[in-house]
Amino acid sequence: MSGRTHDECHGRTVAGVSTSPAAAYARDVRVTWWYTVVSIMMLQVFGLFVWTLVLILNEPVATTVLYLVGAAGSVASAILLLVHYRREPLDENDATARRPVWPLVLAGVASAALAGGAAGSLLLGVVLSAQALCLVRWRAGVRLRLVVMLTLVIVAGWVIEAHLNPEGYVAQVLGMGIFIAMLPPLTATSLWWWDIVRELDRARRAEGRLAAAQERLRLASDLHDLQGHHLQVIALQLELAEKMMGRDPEAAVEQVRAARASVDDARRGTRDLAARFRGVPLPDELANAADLLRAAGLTVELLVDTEAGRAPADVLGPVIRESTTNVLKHGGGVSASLSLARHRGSWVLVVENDARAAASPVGDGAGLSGIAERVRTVGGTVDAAHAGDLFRITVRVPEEVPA
Amino acid sequence: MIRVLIADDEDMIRTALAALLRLEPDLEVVGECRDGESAIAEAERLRPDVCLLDLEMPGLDGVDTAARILRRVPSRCVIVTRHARPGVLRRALGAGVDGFLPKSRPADDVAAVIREVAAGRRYVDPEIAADALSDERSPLTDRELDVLRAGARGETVAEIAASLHLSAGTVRNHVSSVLGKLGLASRQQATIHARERGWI
Repeated sequence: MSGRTHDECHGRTVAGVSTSPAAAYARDVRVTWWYTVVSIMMLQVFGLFVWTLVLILNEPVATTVLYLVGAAGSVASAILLLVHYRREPLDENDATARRPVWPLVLAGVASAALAGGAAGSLLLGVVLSAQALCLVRWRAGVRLRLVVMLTLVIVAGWVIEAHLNPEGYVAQVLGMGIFIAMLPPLTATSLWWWDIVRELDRARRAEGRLAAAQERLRLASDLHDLQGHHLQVIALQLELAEKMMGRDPEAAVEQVRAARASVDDARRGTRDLAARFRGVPLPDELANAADLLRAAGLTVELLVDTEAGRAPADVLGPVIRESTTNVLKHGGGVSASLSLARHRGSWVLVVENDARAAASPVGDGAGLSGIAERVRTVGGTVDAAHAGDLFRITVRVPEEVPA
Repeated sequence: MIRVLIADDEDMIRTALAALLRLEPDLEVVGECRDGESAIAEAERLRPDVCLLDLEMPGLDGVDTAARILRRVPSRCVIVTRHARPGVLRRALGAGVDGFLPKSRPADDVAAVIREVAAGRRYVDPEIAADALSDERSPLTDRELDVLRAGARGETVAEIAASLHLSAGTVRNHVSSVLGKLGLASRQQATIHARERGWI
């Protein structure tokens, strides 16, 4: 097992293929980022655009062009600062990936000065400069103070500007002013929100790793207990066999056999321990079965209900395992079909193959009778039929399996 | 008499198994090897009926060894393993291996499987088959797996693009889709992830 938690291994099933919740979370986090970026940039670009219209109507072309250069510079620096923001590590002590951000901020402030100067608006210059400053990842606590201070500066700039241009200003710029003055605080809150999302995402990952580490510790201790116990038993049995060898060879052999049985027990226990980490949804198990049979040279038909993830895996899983093993074990077949569908309130699993089940001298597994017993306890039926070369096993289990 | 070649890099296990199989009246252990390369050479020289190959050997693993032996010699191959990694049974069946069983089986069972296989039948151990059925499915498309495979040795995007006859942009799209599906940050991580699960 790699560092993934047990829970993540099961995943959820979409169109027959599992996508892990981890991948879904990663996508959600990405979407949140794009939402943040788009909302910040939309506000800024829209504000600058409206101001452009005002300038085109009232000012000479040269002024408008100068303003546009400044506005473009401001937008470009904002975008670059956002890219930088995304790449920067959350951890404040991780200096490796940190790159200087000040050239971008300076460029942003210079562009702001140009745009504000051209538009003849102190407010615009102050706001765009504040915007550049708000796009920096400040240390905890600094951001809040900075935003409060910048807002005060913006309001002051606004008041001053209103006093300098008493007439016409209110009509033309007041509405715009409110809009543009809101920009830096909104940007700061959006990025603050994004930091929270990132922090939560990081916490979720850490939790997953922690759970995996705890599971490993538990496994290590279980394994130690299990092996310790079995090894001690085996050592005693062998010691006994050694002492008896001269006196009673027959009994000595008996002890050696017992020791071998203990080895088998130990192995089975270890396997069960490892099995704790295994287990996939039913549709995946069927797809694996189809892959294996195809690899063995059979033509395989696979039909799986889209809701098959809800079918009782603990009852139907062993059926799939047993029948696949049988087909693989005896070989010789050319085609097989696996289908899991819903029919009249039951899950119906049908496995069909053209190889006649031949008795095998090695191992016999749980066998069909074991399966039938298990299916009956949940109120289902098993039907096995030979027809010529065709062997078909049909298992029906009610959709609502009693717990 | 069934002539058997054994390849296993663990000397204790190989010699013990060979000694136990020699006790069977109808089996003759004609050769013992410590790795895949020598197993192929010995198989060509001795032309055994059945090759018993350990899965985990240095250099060529049991499945690769079996595939090469089967191409050169009309023999049958049985793989034994301590732990079947995901995807390995599928690979073995695809390579034409006829028997697959865990190392923990007693020599009697191994002998029985050798007889089965020598008689032209196949034997896949139920435990190994059950494990293979609970392998984690790959959420990646064939093309995405191709891209990972082509970049498995640290090839650049341009090299992958050239070997798959794709544009570099398409390769980059596949890679980012892979990383999105697996929730990983780098192509290298994705390659390791996929290899551990037997997807590539």
